This record gives sequence, C-alpha cells and structure tokens, in this order.
Amino acid sequence: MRMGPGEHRSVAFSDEAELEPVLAPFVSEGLAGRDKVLYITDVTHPAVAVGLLRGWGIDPDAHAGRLEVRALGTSDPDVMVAELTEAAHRARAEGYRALRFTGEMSWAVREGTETLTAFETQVQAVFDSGLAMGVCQYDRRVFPPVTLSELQRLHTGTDVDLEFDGALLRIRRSARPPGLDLDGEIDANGVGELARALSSAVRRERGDVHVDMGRISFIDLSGLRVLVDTATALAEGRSLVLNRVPEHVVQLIRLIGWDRAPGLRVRGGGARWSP
Amino acid sequence: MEPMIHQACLYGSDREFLDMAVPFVRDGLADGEPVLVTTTSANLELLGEALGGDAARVDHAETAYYGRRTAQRATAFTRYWRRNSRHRRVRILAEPVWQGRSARDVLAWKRMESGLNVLLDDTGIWMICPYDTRSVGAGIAEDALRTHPSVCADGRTARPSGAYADPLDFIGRCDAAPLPAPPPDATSAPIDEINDVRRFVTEAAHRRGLTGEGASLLAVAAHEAARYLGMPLTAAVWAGFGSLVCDLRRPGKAISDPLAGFRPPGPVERAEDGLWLARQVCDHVDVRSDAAGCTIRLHASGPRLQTG
Repeated sequence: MRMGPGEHRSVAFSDEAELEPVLAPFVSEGLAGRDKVLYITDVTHPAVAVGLLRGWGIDPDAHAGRLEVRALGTSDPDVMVAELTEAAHRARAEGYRALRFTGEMSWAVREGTETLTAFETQVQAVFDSGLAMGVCQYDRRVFPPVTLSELQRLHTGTDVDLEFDGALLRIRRSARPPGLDLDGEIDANGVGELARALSSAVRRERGDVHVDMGRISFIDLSGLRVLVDTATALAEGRSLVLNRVPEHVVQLIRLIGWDRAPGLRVRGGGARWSP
Repeated sequence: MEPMIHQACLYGSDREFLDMAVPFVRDGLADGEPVLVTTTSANLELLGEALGGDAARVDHAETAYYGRRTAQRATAFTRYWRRNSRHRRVRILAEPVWQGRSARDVLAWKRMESGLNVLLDDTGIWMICPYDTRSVGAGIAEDALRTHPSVCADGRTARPSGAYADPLDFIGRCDAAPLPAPPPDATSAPIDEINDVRRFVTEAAHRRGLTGEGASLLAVAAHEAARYLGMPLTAAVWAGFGSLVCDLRRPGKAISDPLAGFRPPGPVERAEDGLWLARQVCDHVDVRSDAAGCTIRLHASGPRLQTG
C-alpha cells in the first residue's frame, strides 16, 4: 500500500503488531524518499513508540530533525489541525516533498464522536493541499465498532475491516458471522497473511471463527494447511467454520482427509475457479 | 511393530486361492489383528462363503474401487495402517485388477507393487498379493516375482523369491522409456511466476472444452506440481483421447525420488505433499529427469468423461 501526498488513511488495530504492516512502510518509505515524518502519541508514551519504530528497523536517532515522535499536547481539534498545518508548511519550506503524519486517535474517545468528526473533516483540508499525508490509528479495544465504520467514510481508500490487501488476496474481518471474509487466490504469496489474520481472529472471537470462502477462486495445499492447522489448534468446543467453500476445494479437503480434522467444519456452495 | 512382509501368491484355481487366503485371514483374526481383503468380487464371494461367520470381522473392498489409480491405492494402504497402527501387525490381502488394462496401466501397477516395498517399509503390514495365473499374462506373473521379496502359497509360510529386484532398479526400468514428445498442436509457453501456471493451464483447458471442477482440479494439480518442480518452467497442454495432458518442464532440475508424491500428507508439511495431491487428482502423473532437466506430465480426464 504505497501512499502519496494528499492521502488520508486509517489503520484499526487490536495489538501493536497490527500497526507494523501499515506504519513501518509508511514511515520508512518517507525517510527513504523526500518526506518528513511526524508521529503523535496519546496513551502511548513517545519512548514506547520510538521502541516500536526501532523494532521495525527504523532508527529515530539516525533521522533526528526529520522524524519526530511526540505526545499530543492538546485535545482541541482546532489547535491540532493548526499545528499540523504549520508543521506541513515548515516541512515544505525546509525542502521536503511532504509531511507524513500518523497519530493515535484514542483522545477522541474522551472528547466524543462530534469532536472526532470535526477533526477528521478539517484535517482532510490539510491533506487536500498536497503538503501532507496521514494515517490515523484507531485502537479497536477502545473505539465502539459503530464509530469505526462511520470513520471509514472520512478516510480515502480505507476500510477499517481490511486486514490485508494484496495483489491476489484480500482479507477482511467480518462481524456477522464473526471471522474473516476472503476474496481472491491463496498460494504461497498470501499464506503468511492468512495465517496471521486467522490467529488474530481466533484471539479476538470467543466462540467459532467463520471464514467466508465464497469468493476464493483458488487455494493451494499450503493455504488449506493453514486453515486445518488453525482449526486443530482451537480449544475443545470451538470450531473453524469454512462457509461457501467451492466444490473443487471441498473435494480436495476430502481427498487429503482434512474433512475429519478436529475443529474444522466445511460447508459447500462457493464459486468455481476461473482466472 | 512387526517388520513389513510383502508376498506374492500365484494361484491357478479357486482351491489354491482359498488354501492361501483362508489361513491368512483366520490366523489374523485369531490374533486380534485388523484384516483387509481387497480383491475381485468373485474372490470376495468365495472367501466370504469359506469364512462363514468370521467374514463379518474382515474389512473388505472390491479391488477396482479401492484406489482407482496407483497413487490412490498406495495412499489407501498407508491410511489403513495409520488407522490401525496401535496394532503390531495389520494383514492385507490385495489383488489388483490386471485384466483389460492398457500396457501403460499394467506398467504403472507393476511399478507400484515394487514401490510398496519402500513406501510401506515403516509399517507393520503383512501383505499378500494374489495373482490369478488363469487370467494374468505370463509377463505379469513373472514380474510379481520381481516385485515381491517372497512368495506364499499357504497363507503362513514364506519362500524367498529368487527373482526379487531392488525396487529402485525395477522402477528405474519401468521409467526407462522416454515420454512421447508433445504433439504439434500442443499449446506451450515459458512461465516465470507460479501464479501464471494455473492461469495458463485453466485457459488452455477451457479452450479444449474442460471446464468446471475438472478444470479447477487440473489447475490445482499443475500448480502443486510446479511448486514441487520450482520456477521458471515451460508448460504445455494438449488433448489426448479421453484426456487432457499438461507438461511442466524445468531445465537443470532433477527429481531423484521416483516415489515422491506416493505418501499421503501427515501432520508436518513436506515438499512432496503437493505432488501427492497432483497424483490423487490426475489419472496418471509421469516424472522424468534427464541430463537437461525434469518433466512432470499430468494426465487428467478429458471433457467428455461420463459418470453415469
């Protein structure tokens, strides 16, 4: 997901590991290119955010003056937007192409939805000027799901339920039934992302985890193995339920004998593979 | 666990069949061992009558449907062992269909008979393979002595087979003839990315009338074979009578294990699992390595297959 000036995205996360796929490239591409980076924290101490960046292979000390990590000083959206506008203009004056901004949005839980909407709308104007681009961080543990879906409208190209958006595979969270929606083709290229999304779904949900396979046109043995490994690792009484599985995939699962794997339930009815 | 035993029994009459089969089955049942009988419907009937009430304790399958192809057959045996592996000994009476088979099929089944010595080596299976000399040709009976380390006439005692051949040598001879070259009307293309293999194969299959599940399964087989072979490769697809054939050739590659893909996947992922899947899905899979590279040839059922 390479971003350019003017773009305004969001990332919803349940633990810090989920920030890495979005924020690590966002920050490091800016530093490798001609951008300045501003990272604003709220509940997280700036030193912890610096630690996260280090963990992703980004050394803030090596980019002093260009990569700034600091705590939010205000809860007034007007002040925040003014500060951001000023930082963006200063970056341009210093010769940078744009300001890359990322910030924790947890302050909005204290301030209320209206303040948040006001902020997101005003900040859009800063991005629209082409001087800046941004990724807003939403912690799923503190934001109500309704607020998260309303926020989708305010961010370009964003989808708070999107877990992975690759060339061949898209993984989204689903609320009803709880689990994942898969779309595309699963082979070695997407299998790591699938494993990660499945394990976070297993941690997130309490009961069965559902996977909608209705838009999966191709899955290979390595993909099927990730599904069956996830299922067999589930605690007693929980299942991984595969819904709308394409007929030829049902046949493959039976051939391998995984239709009898503990914890796996396979329901047919999906599409056929066509390129 | 007892060591694996693999014996041939050449019989020329119903009496000779029963003289071997009845003691073999009865001894197993008496020792509480799982017993599987997979043979012709005629022999199942004979044996069932001879066993009387004991027949109910015998696992059985009509042989034509117990693993339609060799890779499925080998897998069925492995799974029967895995399901019963708490026993030290598992008995299998296994008589393949030989009559009416094409030369290529006969060769594939001989090849498997030899391969079982390697594939089932780490099991406690005692397998007797009856050969009906009234119907199988002389060549098949002779090769039974090359593919089984010992022969058994009474279901109890063994006599070593002097003609027994090392399985890898025997299989090497089965694979000696080069694969026929693809026909001039084959569609062929060099492919760099693995995800283009399934696209190429599916499109070529569609153009030859194979659609739906058949095309999807061939695409999976080709993808898995390509994953085993490695990229880049050259793919070719053509139609044979009743089949669709897909060649994958990788220069500079060699596959040394002639039994790769005959062992079913277990809990731990192995490289050959994908080739196993290809062998399950296809009617035939040929693997040939030469000085210049390696070819995997997949044969799938053609679009006009009727399934009743």
